[in-house]
Amino acid sequence: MTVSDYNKCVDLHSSAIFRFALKQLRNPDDAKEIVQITFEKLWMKRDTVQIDTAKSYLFTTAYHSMVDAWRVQKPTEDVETLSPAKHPTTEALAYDGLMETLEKALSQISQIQKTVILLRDYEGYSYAEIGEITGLNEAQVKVNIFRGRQALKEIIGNPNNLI
Amino acid sequence: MKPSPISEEQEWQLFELLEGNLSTIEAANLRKQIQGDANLEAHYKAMSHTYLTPSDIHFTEKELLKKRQSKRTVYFYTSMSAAATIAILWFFSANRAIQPVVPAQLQLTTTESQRPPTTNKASNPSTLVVTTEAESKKNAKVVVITTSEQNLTTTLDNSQTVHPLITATEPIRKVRNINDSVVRKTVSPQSTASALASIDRPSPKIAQQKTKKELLKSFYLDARRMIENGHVPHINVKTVNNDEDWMPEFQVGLTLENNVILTSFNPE
Repeated sequence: MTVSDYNKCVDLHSSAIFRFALKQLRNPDDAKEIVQITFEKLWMKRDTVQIDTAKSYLFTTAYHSMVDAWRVQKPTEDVETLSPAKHPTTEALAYDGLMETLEKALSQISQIQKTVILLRDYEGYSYAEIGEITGLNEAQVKVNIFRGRQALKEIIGNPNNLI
Repeated sequence: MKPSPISEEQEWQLFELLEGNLSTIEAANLRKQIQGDANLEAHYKAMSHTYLTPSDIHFTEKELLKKRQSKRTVYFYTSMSAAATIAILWFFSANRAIQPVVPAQLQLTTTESQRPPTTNKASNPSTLVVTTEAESKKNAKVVVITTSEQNLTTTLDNSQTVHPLITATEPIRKVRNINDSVVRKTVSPQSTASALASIDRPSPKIAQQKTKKELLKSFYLDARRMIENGHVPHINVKTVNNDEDWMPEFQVGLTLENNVILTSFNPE
């Protein structure tokens, strides 16, 4: 990968990596740090990473960087352990738009479920590609996406109120 | 009103439908089933709302991530070209009255590049060897210049006119060109005997021992002599390394129209 290719990757993928990290970490500074770490690693590996595989490499690196960050942070509660009182009520969510509601709900599901859903919805990755990034097999990816959507559906509340 | 719960299997079916994993027939059947069941339809709509759409978030610090490349090349090339152009124009206007140097008595022959210079030395004691650098390196040839006090004509085997500057500048070119595969000899047409005495192939260390100042001076003198002879020198600036660092090494060359390299140096 040449300098030009690297810079092209910055143009093409930095926003996607930032968005991916921001949705996961919910902190712009932390997300920027993840982006910087990710691209620094790409630069160091530029001799071995080709431009056509750079996107996958970037997301994998970003994901692993975030996993490292999560390890030193307080463990996130899984949706199964959340009490109903912690869930936003339909009334409270009624003031927000659907996407904002979903964003809030997204923060309450497990990290891996959030990761696979973000990769699936934002980047359009297949189960296999998500598996490569997260180290899961296709079936695990699919189950996590399903469980994540199930959880989001439950958190969002009564669907009739959202339509 | 909150819909009543549905089975896990039905949830999976809704999920598979939304993910696009069902066949056309399966999808059509399930859609028909959803349309006939309000509770299932409510769950379907709720599940469909869990799909995210990319938000309009952009990373604003892209420039900080980017690596600089060859920007200095452009600046350097531009400044070098501008400086060379100004210098050439100034010399041209200042030295318009100077008569061109009468070319030394030359007879040029084109030989194959593998022809050893020592052979020329044996047959023609006052041989000058100048390397040409064609645009294509494959076609690079060696031009052999022989001096003869009686012969005042300048000829070339392949009907090319010999550039008089080759001779005119040869005496002042005391440094080895970086691109030269053959080391130049300092031979003055007026002092063939002394040239013969110094015809020994100099060590490449001689070029390395030259200071940057001397190289620049050589470059300057060559350019000036070209102008004095009414020729426009070609200034070539190129990078000599393939490193992707942002500051490559440069090589500046002064060439004639026939791509004979008169002087080249690395300005660093």
